[in-house]
Amino acid sequence: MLVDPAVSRFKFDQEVAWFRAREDDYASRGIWLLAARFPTAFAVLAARHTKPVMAPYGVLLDFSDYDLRPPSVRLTDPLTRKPLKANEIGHEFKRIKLIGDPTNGPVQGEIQRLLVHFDVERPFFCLPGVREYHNSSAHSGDSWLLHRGSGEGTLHFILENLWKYGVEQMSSARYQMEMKFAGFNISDPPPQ
Amino acid sequence: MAQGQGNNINLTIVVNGNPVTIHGNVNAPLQSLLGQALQQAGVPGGDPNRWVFKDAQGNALNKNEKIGVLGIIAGATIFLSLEAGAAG
Repeated sequence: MLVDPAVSRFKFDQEVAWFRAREDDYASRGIWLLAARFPTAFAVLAARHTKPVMAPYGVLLDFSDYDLRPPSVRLTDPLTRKPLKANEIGHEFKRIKLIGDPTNGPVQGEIQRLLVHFDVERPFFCLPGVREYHNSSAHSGDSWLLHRGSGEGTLHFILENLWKYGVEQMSSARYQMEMKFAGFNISDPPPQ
Repeated sequence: MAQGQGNNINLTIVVNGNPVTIHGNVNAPLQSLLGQALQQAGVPGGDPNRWVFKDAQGNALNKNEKIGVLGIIAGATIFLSLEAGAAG
C-alpha cells in the first residue's frame, strides 16, 4: 500500500458522490453504478440502441492507492461479477485513429482495438488512465504520473470511455436458435 | 443559485464528473466556456481538442456553435469530457 487509505478513500468518495448527483443522466446512457464501497466500484453497462436493451458486461474498478496509481479496470459478468476472459467478452472496443494532417492532404483511418490481452485470462482496457495500461511493459515509457491530474483515470473518464467504445457502438443483436427434437426418426416418405 | 440576466447565464458544466458553475453569454460559442470550466475544476487542460462538450445523453455538442443556438438556457447542465488519448 503506497497511499494512506484515508486519502484514496476521500478522492474515491468524492468521485462517487459526483456520479450519484448525475445518476439519472448516466442511467439514460446505460451506465449504472451498482456498488461503491472503497476501494472498489462496480458498474454495469447497457447497450441502449439494441432492441431489447442488453447489458453485456459489468466493470469492476479498484481505487487502491488512488490517485498515486490509476484505477484497475476489469470487465466482468454483469450478474456474477466474475472477471471475463478475452473470449467471453465478444467485443473489441474499437476506435478509429486518424493518421496524417487533414490540413495537408488526405488522412487515413486506422482501427485501434482498446481491449487487448497478452494473457487470455486477463484482458485489459489499453488506455492511459487505466492501471493495467501503465503496468504493461509495452507502455513502460508512458508513466501514469505523466497523466495524473489531467482528467484521465477518474471514475467518469473510465466509465464514459468504456461506454463510448463499448456498448454505445452496439446497435443490434443477432440471435441464432437451433431446435432439436427427441423421439422422431426422419426417413424417406413411404412409397406411393 | 442566480440563473443570470439577459444574455448572461449561469450553467453547470460537469467536467469529467466534477460539477462547476460557469458564467456564459448565449451569443458566445460554447468553446468560450472551456478555459473557465477547466480552471474551476482544477484541471490543467492540455490539448483543448481532447475536450468534448456533451448533453446529458452523451451526444456531442458543436463547440463552435453559439450557446443560445444550441438551446442551452440558464440553469442548464452540460458535460465536458476528456477524450481518450493515444491508446492500444
